[in-house]
Amino acid sequence: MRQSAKEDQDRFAALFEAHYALVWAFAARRVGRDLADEVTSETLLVAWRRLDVVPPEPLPWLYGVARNVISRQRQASAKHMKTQELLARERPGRVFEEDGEHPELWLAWQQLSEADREVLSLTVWEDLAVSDAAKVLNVSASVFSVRLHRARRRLERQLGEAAPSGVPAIPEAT
Amino acid sequence: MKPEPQSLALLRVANPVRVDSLDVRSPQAAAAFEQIIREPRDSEDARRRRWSLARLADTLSERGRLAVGGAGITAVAAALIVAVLSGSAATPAFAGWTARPTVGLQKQVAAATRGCGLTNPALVEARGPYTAAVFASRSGGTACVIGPSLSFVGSVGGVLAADNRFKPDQIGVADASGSDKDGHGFILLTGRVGSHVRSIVIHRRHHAGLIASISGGWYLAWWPAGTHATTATVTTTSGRYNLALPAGAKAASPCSGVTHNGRSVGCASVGPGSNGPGSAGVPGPPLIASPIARPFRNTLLVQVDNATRVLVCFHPPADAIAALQTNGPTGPCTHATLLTRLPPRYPVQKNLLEVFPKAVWEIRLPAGFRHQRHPVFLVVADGSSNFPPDRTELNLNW
Repeated sequence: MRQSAKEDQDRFAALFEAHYALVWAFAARRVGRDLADEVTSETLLVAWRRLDVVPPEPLPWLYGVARNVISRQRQASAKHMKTQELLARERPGRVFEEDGEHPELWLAWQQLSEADREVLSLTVWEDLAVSDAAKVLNVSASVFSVRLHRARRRLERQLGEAAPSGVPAIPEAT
Repeated sequence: MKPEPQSLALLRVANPVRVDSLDVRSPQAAAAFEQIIREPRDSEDARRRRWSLARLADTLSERGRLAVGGAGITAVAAALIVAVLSGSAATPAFAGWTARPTVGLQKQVAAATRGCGLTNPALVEARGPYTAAVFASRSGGTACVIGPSLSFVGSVGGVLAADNRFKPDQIGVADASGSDKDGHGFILLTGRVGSHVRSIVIHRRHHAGLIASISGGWYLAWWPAGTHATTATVTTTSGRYNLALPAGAKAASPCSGVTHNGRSVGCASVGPGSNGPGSAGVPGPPLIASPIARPFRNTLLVQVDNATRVLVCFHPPADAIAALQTNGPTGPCTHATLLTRLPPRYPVQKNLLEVFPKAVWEIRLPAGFRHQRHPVFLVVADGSSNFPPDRTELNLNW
């Protein structure tokens, strides 16, 4: 039975308050702060419209929606896509550069593929467990673990580190 | 628990956006919440209609602006359109369509409200038996065209939230294509218009000019596909200029219909815009659009459209426009350089100049320039004598 409009609004208000900043940060890391407002609004609008299907632990679902919103934006126009790629590629590096502490990280990050950056970002910056990060990418936890391991190795290679061989030192799937 | 590898620990420290610094009760967040909860919840029918909702931040002349204090680029106009077909009988390709619209009569306003499922249209026009409308909202709007064998509904998103950031001579351009039930294609242009815009005429090859409707801060024009639209002439209170139309608006062939959930629906596409000097014969007003990249600590690349000169003042004088008129550089000001080719030393995408043709200006920051000490500097762009210079303050924290 459908909940009343008031209950829906209260539920959405709680979801909004708990996740707005997280979704905004997720978007800002990928498309820049200047477009993060739009991506966040669009993502949460989808959540509002489809409140019935939002899972009890909504964060991976919201990140997945935000990825789709960003993807659609990039597909919508070749020019826009190029613009966003430029912004997305420049922004993290700029932060590192301005910090002035990790220029090697800026250079290494520039060399990674978008897929590698995504699994690293979900793990480190979004701070998701492997099982949740896997939900965002719609893959199994084991597949995500492999991708993360490989991405980390490539990052370390770019950083000039000698990555340890053997079992990956990554968070275990929960 | 295993210790985090050094590489990931390093990455964690370098997190470019920290959530704990964000305020969910900010005015932007509050406005977003209020706007969202006013939107209708999805019905099954609405989900089908919205099968491919998307937004695009792309305009010809409506660009994001950097705000003082690093508030960021304001969202820009954009569009994408979703076409949905009604089930009426097949008709010839847009029979009765006219290049000159008529203002929507009361019955057409009622038909648009009923057919589009929205209220209080900002613009309603009629071209023969076809009624088109734009419904504005705080975040954007919805374009709709209804008529024989056609029911077209689309979202126009990302429009400037504050009208006072929208230059009075500018128009936002978003184009889309769709098709009716029988596969006859059409092209649609819509967007916001500045308060000084008086008329917009779309030029199509081998055809008379197509008049766009303007009302409520919006314009709209649409026409059967198969004719090349090349430029739009925008007449303002202070003059007239031409804009090159996006590739999508030039499309000659109708898009092929696709099927969704067993229903025949039109297709949608949005073309990239271009607004470089010379691209449309007569350049538009100079416009400092946005920074593109900072390839080196002391080098900044900024997109500036329609500019013949760009002056950068690192310690803004009282009247930077006067500094520009003295043919600078004067005092703390210096000239930016228009890039005609991308120097090989730049670690940015090689297609940068293809993305922003004749619009990438290189700003060299003075030695020792630190954004912590000098957070803001001023950029002034001069262009055609028909338009005043543009100026904005840039923050290196962008």
